[in-house]
Amino acid sequence: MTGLEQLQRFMLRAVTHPDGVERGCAAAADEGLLPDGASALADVIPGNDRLTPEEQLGIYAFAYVDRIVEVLAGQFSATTWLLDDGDAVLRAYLADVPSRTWTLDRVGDGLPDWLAQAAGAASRGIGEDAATMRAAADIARVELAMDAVWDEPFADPVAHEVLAAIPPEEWGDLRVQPIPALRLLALSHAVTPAMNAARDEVPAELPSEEAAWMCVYRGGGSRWRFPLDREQHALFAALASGATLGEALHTTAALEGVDLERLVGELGEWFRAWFGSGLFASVG
Amino acid sequence: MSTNRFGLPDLGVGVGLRMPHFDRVRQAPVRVDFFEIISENFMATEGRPMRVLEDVRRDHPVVMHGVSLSIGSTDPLDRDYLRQLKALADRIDVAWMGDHVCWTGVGGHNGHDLYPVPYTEESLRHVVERIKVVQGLMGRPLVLENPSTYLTFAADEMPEIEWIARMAEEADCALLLDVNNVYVTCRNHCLDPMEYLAGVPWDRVVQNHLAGHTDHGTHCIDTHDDFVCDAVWDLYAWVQQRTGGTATLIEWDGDIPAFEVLEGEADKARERRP
Repeated sequence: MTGLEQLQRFMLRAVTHPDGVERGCAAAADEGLLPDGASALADVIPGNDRLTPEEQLGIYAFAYVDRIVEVLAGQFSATTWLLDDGDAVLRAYLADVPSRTWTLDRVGDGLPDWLAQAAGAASRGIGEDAATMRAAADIARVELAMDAVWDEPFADPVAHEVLAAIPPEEWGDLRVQPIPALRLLALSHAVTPAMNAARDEVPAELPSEEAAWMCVYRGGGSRWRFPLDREQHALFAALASGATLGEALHTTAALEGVDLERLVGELGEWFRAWFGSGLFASVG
Repeated sequence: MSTNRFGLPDLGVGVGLRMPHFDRVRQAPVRVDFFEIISENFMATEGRPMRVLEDVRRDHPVVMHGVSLSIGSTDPLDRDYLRQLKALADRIDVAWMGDHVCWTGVGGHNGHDLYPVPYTEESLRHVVERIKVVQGLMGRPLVLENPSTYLTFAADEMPEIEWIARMAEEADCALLLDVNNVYVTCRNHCLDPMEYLAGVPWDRVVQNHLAGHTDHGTHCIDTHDDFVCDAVWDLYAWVQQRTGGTATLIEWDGDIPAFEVLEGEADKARERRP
């Protein structure tokens, strides 16, 4: 390790340590990162007559934690709304899953899985119970998807009239592709009421643990979400994977307890609503 | 008119293209000469930010200014990041591109901050070599900005501006002189800003930055969330007279005000240009 690398590792360890600069410096020293010839922090960072070395490092430490937690809190506003102490949870996440990406936008990618496993929470004395953490994980998945659709390319949506003009007997062979700015989610909590509560800034109830499905998309310059039922999700997911409408119907009909007649009967209304929301980019 | 050795133009006075102003800059004429983007905000999106950027580019020059190059880090250069950076620069046909004299992480761990480089011979060799590699990949000179720093290292072997001047000379890169950073760094380390400016290799300066900072008494933080202070305006006026006119950007990244406020700051900058 060069002297420069050693110095950089020392400083980064000091300013990103979850328990503060003093502990960070001690940990860095324990890990042999104190630069050659230095026996104390002042041998590395002299400070000045107004700020000690610890205070100078503290400026960077403050920026690290607070800036990233602020970004995460903005990205996961509904997730943290559900939690008693979202700030503490995000700090614990950052401590357990430090950023390894050049963009702040991706720092939160691991949050849903981390919440689901409640990793590190107990050891850091976080007061959230496991059920809340698991529900928060599902909300975080939705919020990650809402971020993802924001950055997808634009595509001109196909009007419902295009589909309606195709004779019904040809529908079985149709391939209907969704716009890129769309995500389908299969969740284990009914998160819509809690997310609406966060949006409206009213207290959120703990989402019930049950299978739930959701569509997230960008339309008209905004991001939207709406719940799907099991059959709608199965059909939509099959279409999104490239299946023909006939194949998608077959896949959906194979689900346990599906009434094929009802499914076919409702299909027209589903498509009318979905096309009306601009969710499809091609029909052919 | 160009006063730098790279022949890069004086673009006038610009502002940063920030999301709260997306609608405003598309809906009505703006009283600014160019826009600067934070490169990373547009590198991984095909959504609305890219649409706005392409619209803006049709009517104005755009320069790219990044925060994640980490030119001072001892980690290997991130080739995927560099590929995306170049793709954006080519797509937007930017007037120039750059980043900061700093490092942002090490050992694969990113701190998402602009950490200071120790001003040593070792770090100088390291950074010069990396700048050459990046400039080769980008096919254009890098425009690197002097940082705001909040600490110094015992290992420092020379003043910051001497190190930066040697870096620019040995790597043959361009400089972005952030006048607010000069002020903040000099306040934090009890230096004389005019002595700092005396060491600037002016023929390599292609752009100035101006911003507000937060004065905590014991130290200043480069917060980009306020008006440019009088002391920085005075330094800026001196710099502009010294260079004969350099492209200038008003930075405002926190508590972002109405676009008209930025236009007002741009007007103040114009009044101080030769």
